[in-house]
This record gives sequence, structure tokens and C-alpha cells, in this order.
Amino acid sequence: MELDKLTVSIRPRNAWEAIDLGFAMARHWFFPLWLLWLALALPLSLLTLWLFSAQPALAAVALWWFKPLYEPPLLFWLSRALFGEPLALRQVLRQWPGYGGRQLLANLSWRRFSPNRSFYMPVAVLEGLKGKVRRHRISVLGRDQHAASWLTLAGLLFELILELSFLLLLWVMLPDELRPLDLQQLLLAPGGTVEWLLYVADLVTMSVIAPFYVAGGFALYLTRRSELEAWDIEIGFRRLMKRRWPLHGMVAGLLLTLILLSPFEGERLQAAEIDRGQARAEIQVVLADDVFGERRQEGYWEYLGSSERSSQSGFWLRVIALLESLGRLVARLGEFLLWFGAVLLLAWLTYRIVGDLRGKRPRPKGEVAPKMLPVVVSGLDLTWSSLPRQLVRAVREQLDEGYYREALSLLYRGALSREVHRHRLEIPGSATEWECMALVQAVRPAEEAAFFRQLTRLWMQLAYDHAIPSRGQVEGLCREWESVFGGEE
Amino acid sequence: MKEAGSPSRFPSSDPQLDTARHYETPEGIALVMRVAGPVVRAWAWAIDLAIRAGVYLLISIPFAYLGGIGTAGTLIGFFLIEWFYPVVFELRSGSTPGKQAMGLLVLHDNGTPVALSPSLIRNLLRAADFLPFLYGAGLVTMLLNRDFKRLGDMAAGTLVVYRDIPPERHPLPSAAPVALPGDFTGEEQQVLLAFGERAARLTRERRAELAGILSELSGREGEAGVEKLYAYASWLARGR
Repeated sequence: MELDKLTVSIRPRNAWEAIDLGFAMARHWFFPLWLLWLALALPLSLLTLWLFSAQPALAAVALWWFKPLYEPPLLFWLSRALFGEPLALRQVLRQWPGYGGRQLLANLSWRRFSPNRSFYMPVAVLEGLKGKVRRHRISVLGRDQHAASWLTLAGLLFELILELSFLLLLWVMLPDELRPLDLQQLLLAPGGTVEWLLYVADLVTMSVIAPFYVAGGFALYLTRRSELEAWDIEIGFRRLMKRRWPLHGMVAGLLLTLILLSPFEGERLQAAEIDRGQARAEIQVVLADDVFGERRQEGYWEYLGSSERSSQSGFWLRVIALLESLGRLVARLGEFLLWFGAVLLLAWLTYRIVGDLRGKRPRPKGEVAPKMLPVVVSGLDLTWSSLPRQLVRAVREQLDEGYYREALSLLYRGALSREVHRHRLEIPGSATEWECMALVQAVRPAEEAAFFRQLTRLWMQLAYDHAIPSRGQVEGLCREWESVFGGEE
Repeated sequence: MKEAGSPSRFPSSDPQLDTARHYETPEGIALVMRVAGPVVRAWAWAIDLAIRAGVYLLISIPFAYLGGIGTAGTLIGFFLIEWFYPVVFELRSGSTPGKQAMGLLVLHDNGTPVALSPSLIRNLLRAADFLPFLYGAGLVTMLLNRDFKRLGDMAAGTLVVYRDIPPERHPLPSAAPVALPGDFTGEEQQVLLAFGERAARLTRERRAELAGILSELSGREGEAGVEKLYAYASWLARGR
């Protein structure tokens, strides 16, 4: 439960962005969330179907009404995945009585119509607050927050849009011959196919939207909490400590732990103490319960052959046969093209992978700036630690070995680094060489500026023009360096 | 090194889930684009719909008195508005009034302002996104796509992002400035400033807890540590 382990980036966000973060989470973890929802909703839907077998519409309303029953597992799973420890689905379901049963009656009755359901659910489910404490918490969390209601309304509309899209798509896909016939039957016969179809569409769309809705509300809650408790500042401070005192950072990380789900910690530890065999037996007992069963009855159409001979004339039969063989030809051609494309794709991928492997060489040390360093200009690493202590001597050694480029680069980086660190020159990270030079000329004494101008000119000629300077020129720069920046430290 | 106007305070290289997309220009400047998801875009669209409906009403009332010609005028007006309302606004300011109200903006994938042809493509393809019913296809693709793109956005190579609005500044607690020891990155300076601005709204315990993380830096514990961090923040805010 440490903020270091967050799998989601925490930064100041407005409420809409928070919802988007929730959607990104739901998209990333869609299948576990979806399965969790179905694991509870499917058995219940079977139950409602059995109870209201004559009125599918009532069954659909019941399925919709009991949403607060199947949403807590999603939330619980998300709260764990957030800290990089996703739980197994059956573990979540087994613990359901612990978190899911909390304030269930209230959630299913008067709170069912609360537009902030998703936003406030974590307070009850994860924090386990109730009564006055809960009301206080919600009043703090909900101050000036309106996005949750818009999220609920949007979720409702999204479900509607998806469901109608699904039905319309089916309708469009139906062959012409079946359509007019069915339309009357579908619309007029109560309890007919259309109501069952609606029920299935309801179930599918609810299951698809539920992860997004729950995660959206959870992200709103998370963003609001991280704003109230300044999680982003904590993370920033931790990073700072890690960079400056890598060893102490760890201690601080251990000292300060943030507990999101305090009431569950104990339970979880207890669960871990049961030995494997016992746990397996217990799981079997739980799974043997009817709730976990899944029985489905599926009907399907099968072509049994035509009952009557078609009375078409020989000519039309021949035309149809011709068309059929033509179609087969096109299909064969298409298949060939697909295979051809697959082979081409494979060849291209192999080429890319082989090319990438071959092209990967270790880069010379010091040229690439590692991330998170205090000062990097034009991609040049200017930290003290990346530069040799006795810079001029290092430059001369490189000159002796004929590495003019490295020598001049070192000199240039050293000079920039001195300007930045010793003279506190404000050089933006994106500055070009000319901009650096202009900055130096504007602020530093003439002698130093002249030296820097000379150095920049030589460096740019070498870097961009590949014109190698003479040894004397570089030596001269080294001497000037010593007079400008003083001797070695 | 100040990173003025960076929308994300802590751009990180960790593979953490986020809705911010990073794009680095050849000059080495990291652009951060915060992509906008289906909910906020749906409401922006609803606002635009209301505006368009109002305009249709305004057009059709005077034309209704002109008979056949009037009907023609009304239909032409409807056609033009339906197809080019978003294009005109996107080219003018990057966003339709609805998007403007929700703080959204249309950009190319590389962060440049949207040009005529991508804008035309993304808005003509609304017809595809609209299928089979009220943006069903668009909704599904937005839920599936990492950058919340609908079909039109994919075809045009555009992103709908949040406008960068300068964050609300809160006054720093008055403290005698104390120079920070050593070098700090822009991000680190920003987080110290953020602490100074926001600490007043935290609980006393939380404030001390946060300052405790940096006790190594400030050399103080508890409330004294908080005061020291205020002093650093005030020094940073003064400008060096």
C-alpha cells in the first residue's frame, strides 16, 4: 500500500480528466472487471429469469435494480490492482461478504437513485464508513463536485446507445426475406422474441458499461482524495529523496505507508495463514454453491434442406451455377491474396526485427542523458557527476590519444556545466548552441564570453561540419579554460 | 531550469496508466497532451447539438414564410450547418463552442493545430461514427482506443485534448526565504512550490507527515520542517 507502487499516474486532474483516467483503467483491465461483473450478475439474471419467466421486461428491471450488488467486487479488485497487486477473481468473490454486504440494504433501496453512486461507493465499500462519519466524509469529498452525476447520466445514455445500436445492427444484418415477417411478430406479440432479445441486449450492454462506470467513479474518488491529501506532492517528495539520497529514500518509503483499505488488511493476512489444502477444500465448498453455477439454454437455427423443389427454369439454374462458380473463384482469389499478405507481413516483421537487433549497439558512455537529472541542455548531460573531476587533464589525455571529438565535447560540456552550476546561468533545456552563447555573452564578463564564443565555434564546426581542429587550437582553449574558470578543483 | 506551462507536473517515464500523451519535438521539447474521453466529449457534443438546434429554429422561422424557396433555403442552411459547423469552429479556434465550454481542443497527433483537411475528414466521418444509432460506432471505438479516438479521429490523425489552462495559484504562506541547498530539477522545484501553495488546505498531521519525507533535506522534523519547506518555497517563488 505504498504510493511508490501505484500503477496509475497521480497528478492534479480536473473531474473530467479523472473520469477519463477511470475509463483508461477500465479499458486496460477490461476482462477481469467484466468477468467479475458477470460472475455475480449472470447467476442473478438466471434467478430473475426463473422468477419472471413470463415477463422478461420485469426480469430486466430486476437485473438493473440489483446493480449495487455486483459492482463492489469490481471496485475492490480495482483498489488492489491500483497498487500493483491484482487479485485472483475467485479471491475477490470469496471476500464478497466482507465488502459487498456493507450497507447493501441502503444501496439497494434509497441510495439506488443517487446520481453519485459510483463516486461515493468507495467510501462505503473500501473505507467501510457508515452513519455520521460517512456523511461527513461524503460532504468533504463531494464539495464542488458535480461530474459524478454527469458520469451516471452519460453511463445511462451510453447503455441506451449501445443497446439500440446492437439491436439496429442485428436488424440491418437480417436478410430481407425475414424482416417484414418478423417485424409484426416482434412488435405485437408480448413475451415474444423481441423482449428476450431486449433482455439479452440489456445484459450485454450493462456488462460492458459497468467496468467503465465503476472505474470512472473510482478514479473520481481517487483524484479527489489525492487532491485532499496531496498524494502527488508525496510522490514528488519521494522522487526528490530518491534522487538525492538514494539510500534514505528507501527508509522513508518504509516509514510512511498509506492505507486505503485499512479494514481489509487483517482479513487478508488471516486468509494467507490457511494452508493450501484447507483453502482448496474450502474453495471447493464455496464453489459448489448454486450461485457459482452457470446454466444456459441456447437455441439455434439449422438448415435442414429445402422441403420443396424450386420451380426455376433451367436457364436461371445455369446462371446461378455460373454465378456460384464465379463466387468460388473470387473466394479462392481472396484466400490467395490473404495468404500472400500474411507471408509478406511475416517477411517484413522478420526483416524489421533482424534489422533492429543488428542496429542496436551500446552507446558511448556519457553521450546520452539519463532521465531525471537536474540539468540537461540540448541533450547534453551537465551534472557534476557525469564530468571528470580533473577536466582539463582528461581533455589532454583524450587529445594524446587522438580523440578530438570527445575532447572538445568534454570541454564544451564542462564549460556549459560551469556556467550553469557555478554561475547559475538560466539555460532552458531546449536551448541551441547559439542561444547558449548569446546567454553567456549577455551575462558573463567579456573574457569569458570570448572564450566561450571560440569554444562554441570550434565545437559547432566539429559537430556539424566534421572539421577537426588543430591540436594547437584545442590546447589554446585548455589554457584559456584555466585562466577563465581557474585551475582544477 | 524552468519548464513554463508544462501541463503535467510530473511527467514520468514509468509505464503508469495515464491519459497524458507525450510528444517530443525535434528541439527536445516534451509536449504533453491530455486526451479527452467519451464522457466529456459526449457532453460537449450535447452542448453543440443544443446550439445547432437553436440555430435551425432561427433559420426555419423566417424561411417558413417564403414558401417553396424558403424550404429550399432552410434545407441548404441545415445542410451547411450540419456538415461545416464543426469545421469552421475547429479551424478558427480549435474547438466548437461545446468543446470550448468543456475545455477541449482538437489537435493533430503531433500537437499542432488542426488544419483544413484533417478537420474535414474527421467531421465528414461523423456519418460513419454515427452508425448504427447515435454514435454507437464512435462510442465503441472510443472505448477500445487508447487515445479515445473515434473513427473520424483515426482517419484524420487528430486528437481531442484538454486545453492547458494555467493552474489556479494560491498565495504562499509568508516565510523568510531560505536558499535551497544544491541543485533541483524543474519538477522538484515545482513540487516544493506546490507544497507551499497547498499545505494550508491539508490537515496539520498530513502536512507534518509530508514535510517528514524531506527531513533529510530540511534538517527539521514536524512543524519546524513544514516551516522550513515554506521558506524554500518562498525563496523559489521570489526567483533567483
